[in-house]
Order: sequence, then structure tokens, then C-alpha cells
Amino acid sequence: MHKHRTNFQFSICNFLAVLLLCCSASAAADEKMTAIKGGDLYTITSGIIKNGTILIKDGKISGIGQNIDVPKNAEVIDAKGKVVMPGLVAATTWLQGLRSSREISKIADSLDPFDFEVSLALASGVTTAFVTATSSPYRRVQSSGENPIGGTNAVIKMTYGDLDNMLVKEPVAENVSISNQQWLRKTNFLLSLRKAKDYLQKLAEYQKAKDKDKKLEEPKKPAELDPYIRLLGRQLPARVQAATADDILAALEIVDEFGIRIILEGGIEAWIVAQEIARRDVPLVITPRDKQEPRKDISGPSGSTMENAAILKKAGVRFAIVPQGPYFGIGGMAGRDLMVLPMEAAFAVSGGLDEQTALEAITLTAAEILGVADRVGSLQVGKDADIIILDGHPFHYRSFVELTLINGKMLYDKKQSTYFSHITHDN
Amino acid sequence: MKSTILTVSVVLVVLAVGSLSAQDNPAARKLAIKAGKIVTMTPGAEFATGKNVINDGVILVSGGKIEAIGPASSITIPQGYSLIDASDRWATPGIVEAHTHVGTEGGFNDMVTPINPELRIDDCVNPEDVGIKAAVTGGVTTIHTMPGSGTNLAGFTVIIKLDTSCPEKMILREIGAMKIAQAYNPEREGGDLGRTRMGMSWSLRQMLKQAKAYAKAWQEYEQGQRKEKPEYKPELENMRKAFSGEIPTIVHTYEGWGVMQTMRMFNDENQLKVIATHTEGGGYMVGKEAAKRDGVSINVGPFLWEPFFWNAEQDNRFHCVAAEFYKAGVKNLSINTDSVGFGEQEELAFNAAMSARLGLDDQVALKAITINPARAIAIADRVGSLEVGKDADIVIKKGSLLDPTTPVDLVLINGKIVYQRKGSALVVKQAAERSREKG
Amino acid sequence: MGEEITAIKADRIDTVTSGLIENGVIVIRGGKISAIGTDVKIPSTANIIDARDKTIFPGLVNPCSVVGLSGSPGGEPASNPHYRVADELYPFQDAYRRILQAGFTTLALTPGGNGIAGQGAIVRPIGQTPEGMLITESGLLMIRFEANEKAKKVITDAFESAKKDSASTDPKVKPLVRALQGEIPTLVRCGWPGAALHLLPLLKPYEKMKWVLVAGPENYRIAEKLAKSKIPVIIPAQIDFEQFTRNRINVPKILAEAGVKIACVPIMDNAEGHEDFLRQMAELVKYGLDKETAKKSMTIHPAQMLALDYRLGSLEVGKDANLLILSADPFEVGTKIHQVMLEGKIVYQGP
Repeated sequence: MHKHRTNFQFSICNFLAVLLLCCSASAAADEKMTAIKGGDLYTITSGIIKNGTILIKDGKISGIGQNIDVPKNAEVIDAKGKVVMPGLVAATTWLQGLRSSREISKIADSLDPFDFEVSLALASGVTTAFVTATSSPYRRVQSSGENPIGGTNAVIKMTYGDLDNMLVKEPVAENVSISNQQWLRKTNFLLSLRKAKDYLQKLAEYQKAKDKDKKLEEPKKPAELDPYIRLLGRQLPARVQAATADDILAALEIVDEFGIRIILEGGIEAWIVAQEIARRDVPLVITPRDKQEPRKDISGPSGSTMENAAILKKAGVRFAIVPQGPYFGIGGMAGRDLMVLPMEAAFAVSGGLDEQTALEAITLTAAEILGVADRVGSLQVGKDADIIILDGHPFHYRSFVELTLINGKMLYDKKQSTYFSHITHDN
Repeated sequence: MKSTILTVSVVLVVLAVGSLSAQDNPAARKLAIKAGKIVTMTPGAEFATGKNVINDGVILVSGGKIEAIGPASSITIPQGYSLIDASDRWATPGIVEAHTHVGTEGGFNDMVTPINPELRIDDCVNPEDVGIKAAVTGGVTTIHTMPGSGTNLAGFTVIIKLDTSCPEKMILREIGAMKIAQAYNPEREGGDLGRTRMGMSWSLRQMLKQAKAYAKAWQEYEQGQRKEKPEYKPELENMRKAFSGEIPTIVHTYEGWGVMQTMRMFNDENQLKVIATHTEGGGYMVGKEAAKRDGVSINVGPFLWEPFFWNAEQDNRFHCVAAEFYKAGVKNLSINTDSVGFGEQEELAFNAAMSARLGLDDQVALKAITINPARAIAIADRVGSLEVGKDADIVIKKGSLLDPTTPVDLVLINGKIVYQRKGSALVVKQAAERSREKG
Repeated sequence: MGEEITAIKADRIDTVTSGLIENGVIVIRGGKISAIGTDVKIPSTANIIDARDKTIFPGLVNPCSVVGLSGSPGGEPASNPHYRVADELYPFQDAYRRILQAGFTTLALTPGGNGIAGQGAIVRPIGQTPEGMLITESGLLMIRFEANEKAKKVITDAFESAKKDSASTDPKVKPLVRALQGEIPTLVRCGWPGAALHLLPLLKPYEKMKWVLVAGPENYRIAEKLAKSKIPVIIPAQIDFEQFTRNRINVPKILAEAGVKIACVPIMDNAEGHEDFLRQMAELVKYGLDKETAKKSMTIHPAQMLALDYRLGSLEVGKDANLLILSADPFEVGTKIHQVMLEGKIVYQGP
């Protein structure tokens, strides 16, 4: 520490003092860096960097490449022979226990970072997930009666024990439940959209004319139209479930008429109308293994196909992949839930999808659909250090996540956890 | 000119008809498959020694059976054989499912009385069942389809092959196994008598005692050891097959004490070949006891790992049921899907992959869906491995059956192509074409 | 001098706060301890209780119970600070008799309901009239917290408006003001550690308030955070199982060792639970809870949490003569409660 000198030297020394303080301050703030070395880095955006290094500073990726300098005091994680990937992103979940109470109007106020599903997510490499206030879209549908829109949703990170860093964004979409079968709800949805459009039009006219005609009254905003106004303003997309080709086309008609953004969930028959979907640039959340018998009352193609994803890709449609059970099961069924999210993408590959797009569907594209791709979904400098290290290719049925980091902090170590530490594949 | 055209067309028609009839007649169906890797699943031969794996091999199929199998260098493909060139793919035996409910119509739980020895599900086989068509796309060629577990003795099962082109010939064995259920499900509403496990066990023992005596009496009579002809009881006839060893008994059972009870009642007391199926909830805790008994086989699924709230060890770990049994020494180990309806049966190989993921040896996992279930349901003389004389039930796929990133490309049942994936780029060169090429 | 004087001679007097006195005497005048020690002069008019081969221990204090009350109404979180348990007391319940005989001389009865449930009453588990039971009528404010937007709003709205209205005599506001100023403690029931993480930042701005957390066993996961917050914790005397395992965890031990001030309550809040309480505490001690901490957690700590430690919770001059005459150390197997003394009177004579 510098003592005060006499006045005429004061300013110089002050400057020097400040300079030194700044240096020492920044040195102190120079949080210890972490380096992950020697693994094959599946960056998602820039291919695979073999035997690469990632630098992590202050919870973000600060460097990535094959020959980058690692600071001397950095904590080094040896990833030799391993696969290093961004943490997986689940674009839909029915996570039941992440909420600490019954009635949820704001997910941020109810998150439970100690829920066991959080620790299962870490063990499965899923670091970011979309959650809603009710546990499943079916319950959403049942509880809303004739109201087609409502309930909150959020994107969260699986920061076990840490509430402060759990919420990424709330809300990220409008939950909408309409389909050609639920005609009353759909009717209400369209009516409300039209009402909102009318209102906005009248409002625009008023804004234009009000300076000239002071006597004009501002049009009153009809009640309960806020979510529709948001939709028309394209602030948030509507998440709409549509499995059959006709439901999908009906949803696309709404896009055409109102210009709103939508995300289609389900999309079992999307392959039949892939071009139509591509034209509106509507993204999907699909489950390759969803099965539906071809319908006997339809003259054209119908039903499910494992080639859904490949056909969509060919048409230029973006999609995220989720499993049949978008939760972390403890009931004994293996292979159909988020515990093995990459397996669902692997099935898409068996249907002809290229590996790169399949990987994107559980990382970057999912993040884009959720509106959080600025922070997660790929290994790039500046993004959050949400990183998983696996002992094999993610699409190999034997590959396990060995380490999971979120915001640069190691939250899961397979060897230390009870879940899978006894499974070593030494045979 | 006209007559030449006529002759040529007649010849062509004759050839065409000739080749068609040759194709339709199984006795004449001759086919050769070149495969980059053949995994035979021969019982007793282990992968490690290479005895189960043939690299760059050839399989000859004739009359619906495997005629020859070996390295390409040792087998000349004769004339008159069509050729499938799968040199960039693997050939494995068709997958055998030992526990499913797919392929029948009209319900599979008749729950008026708890013991129903006279019921048989082969009367209800439905070849149109959409689950069957889907199953073949996953490489499943033979299924053991059963009545449900609503009662203690549900009846008798059926074993069918999934070649629906000839429904009359689908049934491999009409009376597959005796179906028993001993825990949970039958406690629902299966009749008045024996709602508790005590009552159930008593009812089963009474039935077994009666059937055992009946079977013994008839066996003695037929072997000339007994003069008096025993009374003919049609409702006990199928149970005779179980006691004669012709068919196994498959028992839906759970937990350690449950699996132990199953083994004791069926194997120890009645010398029946028994398949203990499901077995979650701690069944593997008596794995060593199962390993000791040659007449006991274990069929795991659909829950492949012990649920956290039902795990006998309660240690917050994923315990792979099949791997635990294998560790305890059980060799007669198979995996099921316990499918109903549509969308599950075709994923039997994936179930095996998931068991492998959770700790089961890869080769054991593959055997658990081919030769082991075939042995468990006593059809190993026909299916389950690629060996000379066995049915030509063959699956062609890029890579292992366990690999989820590649689809099944081609399935043969009894030497006939029952499924060929669109886009598989597998060409079947007809014999005529081949001989034209050569000549 | 009309007041009653009693003197107890005992082999072991466990004061809890000042250690063990062997071969000591307690002199009680007018229901209060007037002298305690080894060379205490026994007044000639004193009734002598010969407890020579016995152990004297302070009466137990339960800082949060609903025994004998009408039950929790549940429902949406609401603000009902005017609701008072004191208005529904009924002293002639068998449960109270049993609880008294189980060694509890003080009970804090708390209202049900979610959100700001109302005012709790601190009672002696015996009385001829409801008023006769009361030690303090409005001794504490009870809040039941769940992590959701509404519950948070109920709390902040209530206290923020009470802040602006501190002179109010409105029965819906005054209790909040008293709590705000720390005149009465505020107990917050919050079962899950996840919810507690939502709760703690909510409480931070109200530094004058005397917060007490009524926690479920899972809260061992945030032991360090709780210790740092300096908020005392009421916890069931339970050795819990780690989720999905048979690994047993001594929750009170974990909290105490992290530096949390704990008060233990019976696992089940009913008469049976209270009768079993000393055994539950003995098990905690057996499995590692520090013995002195265990004793404090059933006497002086709950008294402190209720802001009644000036008169309850230990055997000290000036405090109420609430004490138990035990056959042996409270945590020994087979220890019997021979007598229970409440404010100088023997209210229970056991076998």
C-alpha cells in the first residue's frame, strides 16, 4: 500500500497508486481459470477439434482451440480420450418436482434446486431445460377449460443447490393448446387474435390521428388480450401442439393470417408437410420414436416414420429432439426418457438424419428454439461454460457422462456419485 | 416374325412363371447372403474366441433352412441361388421375444376364476395386428405371446413367427408355455378365491398337484406301467405338456422372496422348467439360487433397472437387473419388452442395448434376445442362432443389433424376405440374373 | 410471608446453562427459583422434597405445536395476523395432560393456515380456564411459507404496509408491527430446503425481526447457509434417511455442528410424540448429537426462540420453578419422570 506523499508528488503517486491498485485488484479478481485439456471438442458450430483445450474464466468459455496457452495456476481437467460437448438442452420437459409448491404463477418463485431430478439431469448431461408451471401439456390442456392460452414457462439450468443461477429466462413462449379436435378452444384463440389485431389497428389509427383531432378517444384495450397482443408483436412464440398433418397445416394457417411466431410440438406427421413448414420457417420439437399408425380414413400418406427428422432436415426445417418421456425417470424403464436424451437423436440418425444435425437438435437448435442460444448450446468463446465430458461418442449406447460443469462449476462427477460409479464397462 | 415373337414371349412367360413358382415354393427357395460379419449366437461358442463371429461370411439358404454357413472362402455359391450382397453389413439371427402380448385379438385377461388351465391364446392370434408388422422392422422374427397376468394361471401361450404372408403357417407351436402370475397383478380382482398370496399359492399348488398326478397316470399308462386307462380330462391336457417337459412354465414374479417362491414351487417341488419373468424389485438378490437350478431361466423386463423406490439395496444406484443376475451366475438370461399394442415390440434390441449400457456384457445382451429366449421357450432347435439345419430367420443391418444409429435393412423368416427397408440399397440378385451375368 | 416455600434436595441438579450441581438444593419461593447450589440454606418453613437419588432437570419447552387445536385450514396463502390461537384454547384435553406428564411445562401453540397464519399462544399444558393456561396471549407470529409468487407477496405486502403504519391499533396490523419491531418472535414454517432458499432473501430486509425457522429434516442440505443467516431453527428430533437410500443422517447433529442454534420437537406433533420425545432425543445423542446441545435444544434454546428465556428454559435464580424430577439422566434408557413441577407446584406425581 502506498502512503500519501507530499502534495506536489500527490497526483503522480495517486495515479501510480490507482494504477497499481487496479492491477492488484484485477489480479485478485482474476478468478482461477479452469482448462479442459486433451479431449475431442464437439463444438457444434465449428466441427470437432481433436485433442483440444477449453479455457474457462468467470463461468464463461474464454478460449477454445488446439494450441492455446493455459495459465500456470489454472485448474486442469484431463479429458484425454474423452468427448467434450456443450451441456445438452431439453427443449420440452415435464419435470414434476422442480417446483416447490402447488400453485405456480411464476416459476422463478418456486424453483427447487434440491430436487432429485436436478441431480439426475446432471448425471445425464442435460444442463438446460424448458419447464412449464404444470407438469405436462395434457394437464395444461385439462386445466385450462376453454381458455387456449395461459400458464407460465421458463428455461432453467440444473444448478444443484444453487437457486440464484437456476433461472435463465421466464417466460420464453406462450403456452397455447389448440387443435382441430378442441374446436372451442381454437375458436376462442382465433377470435381473440382477431380482436387483438383489430384493437392494435384502431390504436395505430388513433395514434396517427390524435394530434389532429383532440376529441378522439383512445380505444379501450379489451380485457385479457395481453398474451395475444404479445403474440402479434412477435415478442414471444406460441408453443402449439400439433401431431397430425392437418393440425400442423391449421397452425401454419394461423401464422399466415396473423404473422405470429410459433413452435410446433409433436409433429409426428410433419414429414408429410415438410415444405409447408419450411416456407414459414416454423421450428419443431419432435420425438423420432413417436409412433402413430397410418390412418385408414386418409387417402394420402399418414402416420409416423423414423425418417421424419431426415425429411424435415432435407426441406430445411429446424427442429429440436426430445424423448417420449421428457423427464428423469426413477421407475426402471430404460431408454425412453431424458436420462438418455442422445439415444432419441441416435434413432433419428437411424432414420437417415446426419449426425451433425442430430447433435444440434439436442444442443444448439434446441437452445435457439428456447431463445437462449446467446448463452448455451455450443462450445464458443463468450458462451456459458456449460460443458459435459463423456467417455465415448454421445450416440453410442454405452457412453456415459463423466463430468458436468455449469457456469464453469463442476456439479457432477460420475466417480463420486452413487448413480453410475459402479458401471465401468471394463468388460 | 410373328411366330418368333410368340415363341419368345411364351418362353419369357414360362421363365417368368417358372421363376415365380420357384420363389413361392419354399422347397425351391434358394438364397445366398454375403455378409461382412456374421454373428451366429451358437450356444456354447463365445465371441471372444471368434467362434461366434464369421468375418466376410456366406450363408446359404434353401427350403427355408440354413443350408450352409461359413467364411466366404470356404463356400461356393451354387447356381440357382439368388444373392444378397450385404458385404458392408452384419447378419444375425432373427430376434426372439419370450414375453409379449402382441399379435392377439380380444383381450388377454379372462379374470373370472384365478386358475384357468383350459384357456389357450393360440385361438386368438391376429396376423393383421399392426404390432407384428412394426416388430419385423426391428428385426424381431419370433414372438412368444401370452395371456396377461390378471390371474394366477391364465392359460397357455402361443409361439408365432412374424411372417404374415402365410397366416396358417405363422404358428410355430400352438401350446407355447403355461402362463402363471404370482405377484401384484393377480391380486387385482382375479376371482374370489385366493385374493391373498397365501390363497394364490394354495390354489396353484392344488392345481399343480392335480395336474402332476394326471400327467403321471397318463405317462404310466402310455408306457405300459399302468393297466387302467386314466380318466380323460381335457382341461388338464395342456398341463401334461408342462409336466412332460415338452413346454416350459413362464411365471410373472417379482422381488427376491417372490422369485424364490417361484423357483421353489415350480422347479423344486414339481420339476417343471420355469422361466421367472419380470423379477424386478430385488429378484436378483436370489440370483445365486437361480444360477444353481438348471431348470430355471430368468427373463428380465420391461423394467431393466431397479426402480429407486423398489430397489432391494436402496443405495441410490442404477442396478441393471440382467447384469446383476449375470453376475450372480445365471446363464439362462433373456430380456423382454412385455409389449402391448404398437410401438414397443420392435425395440427389443434397444432394450438389450440399454441393459448393456447399464452393465451387461454386450455379447450376453445379444444372446439375451436370440438364443437364450429361444432356449427358454424350447424352440432352440428351430431358431435363435445361425446354424445349419435351423430356420433361415436372418436380420441384416449395418453394425450391431445394439446400435441405435443404424436401422434394420432386411429381415428373412424361413428364408423368405418379409421386410426390406426402403432405401436400404440392398439388391437381391435373382438366380436367373446371376447366371446371365456368369454366362 | 404467605408464599409457599419448597426446597428440593437432589443428588444431581442439571441446570443446563450452568452445568451439573451434585448434592444440591433448590429453594423455591412463590413459584420461582430463589436459590440453587450446594451450600444453600433451607428455610425452616420450607416443604422438603427429598429427591436424593434423583436428577432434577428443567421442564421441557416445545416452541411450535398444534396439539389440541382445530387443525390447519390449508388453502391459498393469506394474511390473517389478527387470528389468535388464544381464542380457541380448551384446557381439558387428554393430550395436554399426557404432554405435561411427558415432561413438557411450556408449549407454544401455533395457528394453522398458509401465509401469515396469525398469533400463537405460549401456554402451560394445564389450567382450569383457557386464560389460566396462558403464559403470553400473543406470544408469537406464525407464518407458513411455500415457494410461490403469491406466498412471497403476502409476506412482503403485509410487512411493507405495517412498516408505514406503525402506530396502528388495528388488530390486523398491530401484530405485524410488534413482529416488525422484534417485540414478539416470528416463526416461519418452511419444509423444504429449496423453499428455504426462496425464503431467506425475503427475510433479510427485516433485520429487527426475531425470525425462527420451523424446518423439515431435508433442510440439512442447507446447514451452512442456515448457520450463516444466524436464524435459529426448530427441527424434528429425527434421524432421517438420505433420499432413496438407507443411509441414516442425524439431521439435528448436522445442523448443530454447522453452527445452527437448534430446538428439537417431537417427530409427530401429538400426545404419543411428546411421550416418546426423550427417547427420540436419546437416540440423537446416541448417534452423535452433542449431549449438552441436545439438552439445550429442548430447554433453553426453545425458550430463547420464544423470547421467554428470562423466565424459562433452565434452572437459574429468578426463573420459574418448572422442573422434572427424574430417576436418572434424561437420556438414559428407562429413565422415568417421577414428578413434574410447574411454577413451584407438583402437577404430576408418577410411579
